[in-house]
Amino acid sequence: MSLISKLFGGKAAGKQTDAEDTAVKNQSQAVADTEDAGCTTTEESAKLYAFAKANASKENTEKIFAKAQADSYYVDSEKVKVFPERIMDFGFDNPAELEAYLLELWKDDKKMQELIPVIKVATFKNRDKYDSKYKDLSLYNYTL
Amino acid sequence: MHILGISALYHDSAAAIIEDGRIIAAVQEERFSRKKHDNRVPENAIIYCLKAAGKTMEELDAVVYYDNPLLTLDRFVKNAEALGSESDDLIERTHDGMFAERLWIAEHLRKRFGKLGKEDRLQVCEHHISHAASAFYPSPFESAAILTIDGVGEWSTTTIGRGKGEHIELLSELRYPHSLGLIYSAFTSFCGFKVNSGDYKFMGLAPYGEPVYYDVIKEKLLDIRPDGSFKVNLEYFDYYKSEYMTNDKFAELFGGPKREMESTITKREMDIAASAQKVTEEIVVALARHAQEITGEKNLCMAGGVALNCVANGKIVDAGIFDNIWIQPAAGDAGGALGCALYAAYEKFGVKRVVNPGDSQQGSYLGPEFSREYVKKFLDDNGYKYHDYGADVNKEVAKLLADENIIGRCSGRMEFGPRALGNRSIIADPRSEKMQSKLNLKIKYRESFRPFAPSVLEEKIADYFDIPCPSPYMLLVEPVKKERQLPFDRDAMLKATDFDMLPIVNAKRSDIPAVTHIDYSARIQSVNQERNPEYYDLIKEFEKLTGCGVIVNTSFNVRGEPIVCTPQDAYKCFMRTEMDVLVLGEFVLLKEEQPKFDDKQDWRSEYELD
Repeated sequence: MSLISKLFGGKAAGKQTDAEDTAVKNQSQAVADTEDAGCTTTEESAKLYAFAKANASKENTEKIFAKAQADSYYVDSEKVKVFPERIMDFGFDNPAELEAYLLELWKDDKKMQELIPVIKVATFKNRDKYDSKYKDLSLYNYTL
Repeated sequence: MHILGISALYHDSAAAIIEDGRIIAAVQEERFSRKKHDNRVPENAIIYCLKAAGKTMEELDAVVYYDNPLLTLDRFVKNAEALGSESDDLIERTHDGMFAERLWIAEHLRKRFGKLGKEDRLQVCEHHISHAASAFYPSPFESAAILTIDGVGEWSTTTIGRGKGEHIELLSELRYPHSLGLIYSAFTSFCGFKVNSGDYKFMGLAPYGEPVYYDVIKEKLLDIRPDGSFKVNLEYFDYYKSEYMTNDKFAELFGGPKREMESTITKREMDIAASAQKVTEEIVVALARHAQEITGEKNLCMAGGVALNCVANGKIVDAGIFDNIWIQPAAGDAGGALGCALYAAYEKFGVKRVVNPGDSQQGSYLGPEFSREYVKKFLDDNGYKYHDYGADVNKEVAKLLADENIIGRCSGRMEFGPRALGNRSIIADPRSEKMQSKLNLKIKYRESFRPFAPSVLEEKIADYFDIPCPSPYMLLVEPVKKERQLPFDRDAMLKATDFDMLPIVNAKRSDIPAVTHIDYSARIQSVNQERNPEYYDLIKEFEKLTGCGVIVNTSFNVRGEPIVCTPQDAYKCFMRTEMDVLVLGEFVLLKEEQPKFDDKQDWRSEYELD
């Protein structure tokens, strides 16, 4: 059973109340404090899970996973293009800058915009997480 | 104008640097870090590229990453939303990759390298555009249809586009989770091979089996349309929600649980491989046909990891849909580093494209090389015995080849892409019927069923293989010529040996048995003087001695190890195996003359089996 499932004690559906929100926050902190190799459960991932559960619907699943049969499964690349250009600037120093990108990404999707606060927090909490992964800099010493 | 392209955080990280559209250098990180398929931000590859161009990071005109993290985030959250209460595993597994790595790619690069180019900005280029660009821009075509097929980029898994001059446009696509790359990986994994490194082994297993599951795959797993588009029946797969590719329902379809890695390969796996390969070929050919219909182009360019399925590529050639085909040698994610840099150059910065009739990939020899002085110092400092043949080295090596020595060759610039094309290769005489088995067990320490590949003089290709075009990058599989084939009853042998493949591998199937697979096919590299004069010269010398214009070419590494990069890597691999000879440029080393090799660790545990 995943850690998120343990927090929720099973597969309950529906939106979280404030009380449930606080309970999740407390529980997820406790879980986050334990070492669980390969998995990360945080308050933010729990909120993402809550969002996913609250918005689950057959219609949604059909839309995203395209389960209906069709004569052709191609989509028009121009129609599904999100940003005006296929190549763009990307990088941010603060949550406001990240938010600007996310608002552009989800400019037509109010539901997805609900996730912006969670994503900002999740992103900035993990800003330095993997610095140690790259501590062996400059292994390459060879002369051309 | 200098542009650096970077691929990272999926698999096979790489860096590439270009000057006004010309490729100066391109290299995979694994070759430096010695960690196969290293997916970390390729700091060493970046350093090499900057050195090769004589630039610092802040002097660059642009720095480009090959994927759009925002679109990947979109897929992640919408995938979770579609899964609803089943999204817990997905969220936990993806959390760090997204919030600790992908979204911070610009900052990570700045921390390590300072200002990102003159404008201190990172550009991000869509994943399949990066693939498409890697396929089209180095090709010899002014215009072409472009087909990219992989596991997944942000949302796209397959795209059809058009390239003309400096411009690329995407026309149609298939989207996650409907992915040929992921399906093929699912089958690979089910048959006990590692995803992203075992796929080509799975491809090599197919000729041993019969496609008895073909109908089952088409009825239950994939709805394939005549136009090549398809839909996956997700009831049988788990890759979109968990760390597992398939589920119990899938296993039931194929008569039992998945094969454990390193366990005996049975007829079931052979038949699954044959079936999956047949379906893959059908889809790829249909996709190519559709690409031709909607673009009207007579040339085709391909990239994306599935474009490394060279058997399927051969079927596209055989179908005669296009007059010409060009496939990016680094067709997987490593090539995305090159593609995104080129896309930036042509589409964003208005660089004028110069089409080279022979292609602009420079033989894909785009990595580091080591000078004569460097090599000599390395050998002298360590007291390794060597023979300096100077300009006559190829004559001497050809003699050693003809004497059935197994030779490691580390010469010239290293290849970019998964295939060794002569400069980081183990080479041998293909005429020996024991050579395939010897190479497998004594040198590569790998499974015995896998064939080796031939390097053939380009002008002699039609003498040995039934192929209508050159194949400079070992990306096409075609048969050995009929007149060279020897009778061979695969089914009888399989039955007689109870499906033990080792005796079958040793059975002589042609007069170049070491490079002939059990269905008489070969994964061909044609060598011409322009792309690699030294390697060409070596094969030519071998032909003068033996009358045979073909040699065995397999990558210079042991199983689980990245292909060697440096003379140091090459020497280590040489001494750890039963290789007879090592060639470092103009220097030749014989095994029996070397000092005792002090290996401080059990090297076999150094590399995770792939």
